[in-house]
Amino acid sequence: MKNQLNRIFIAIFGLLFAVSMAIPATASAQVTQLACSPGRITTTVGGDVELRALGGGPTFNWVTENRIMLNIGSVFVVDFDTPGIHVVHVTSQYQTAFCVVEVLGSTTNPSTGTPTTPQLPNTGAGSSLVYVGALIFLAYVFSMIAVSKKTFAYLSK
Amino acid sequence: MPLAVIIATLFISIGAVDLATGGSSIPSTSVQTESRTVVGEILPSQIRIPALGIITQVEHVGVTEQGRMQASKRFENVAWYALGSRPGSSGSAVFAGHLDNGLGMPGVFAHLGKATEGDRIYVRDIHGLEKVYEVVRTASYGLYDAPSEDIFRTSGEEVLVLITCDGKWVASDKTYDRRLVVFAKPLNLIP
Repeated sequence: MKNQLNRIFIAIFGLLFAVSMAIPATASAQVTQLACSPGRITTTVGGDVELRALGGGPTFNWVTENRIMLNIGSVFVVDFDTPGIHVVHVTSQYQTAFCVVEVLGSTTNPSTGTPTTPQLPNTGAGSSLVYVGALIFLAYVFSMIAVSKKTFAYLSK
Repeated sequence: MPLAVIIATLFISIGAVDLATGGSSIPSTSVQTESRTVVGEILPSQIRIPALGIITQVEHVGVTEQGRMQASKRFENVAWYALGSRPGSSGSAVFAGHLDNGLGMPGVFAHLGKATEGDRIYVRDIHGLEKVYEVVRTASYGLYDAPSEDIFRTSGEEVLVLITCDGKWVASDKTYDRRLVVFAKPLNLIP
């Protein structure tokens, strides 16, 4: 009976000692800087990209403009269905990092799966905004004339 | 009247009305001073055409939802078709630059039509590695008549292709009715 009590005391003491040693060790553990890799990657519409969180952990939250994945691992595979620049954020342990995914339009015909040749680009705007600006300006001038006439008529009374 | 003054001042300040140069200014950006001509393909980051006073950054682009090659986001930059061939590899490395913008300001390729046979084109990557090309011919195609299969080919003889708008502005289509295409072949400057 006495031996059993001694064993229990030793076990409890050992457990407390282990916990007391672990707490400062955990508290003083260095928090590594969180980063997202690769920092910038190019893909095409619908193409998977694999992003990896470096540092931080053990769990990560991954956020895109239309998806939030909470408490998952350090690897995140994502694809986008619109061309353009997309930013993917990863957070862990109060740190945030981001990767930039550049999505190019696809040249694959969705019905046949065969590559298609693009048409030549639209590389001009023909001063179109100047005409819009001129129209707005003319509208403003006419409205000012109308207001002036009304004001003049009112003051003449 | 004060609004007219404000609008005029605004247009002049942003360059829409280029009184100093008669609208012929060409946007330029900083340029690396050292380069090394290389064999093999490069990922373009800068393009330079001394004969036309063009030095500009390269944006990597794909295609639009309508199936057109995307244009550069900034009208003073040049777009490179990243889904096609790279400079230095077989096929066509296709670059496109704006003729103008909505305010009538000249784009990076506003004077591409002045390119003549023998003009040199320098394409550089971020490490300063450079490919050199020489203009061999220019052509103007109707928007829907351009030989896209040839312009965007990914195999065969190496060629550099520069594209910009040409012809008349078609307001209903919001585009010009022609495209100016400059073809250049690589120069082997390495002894």
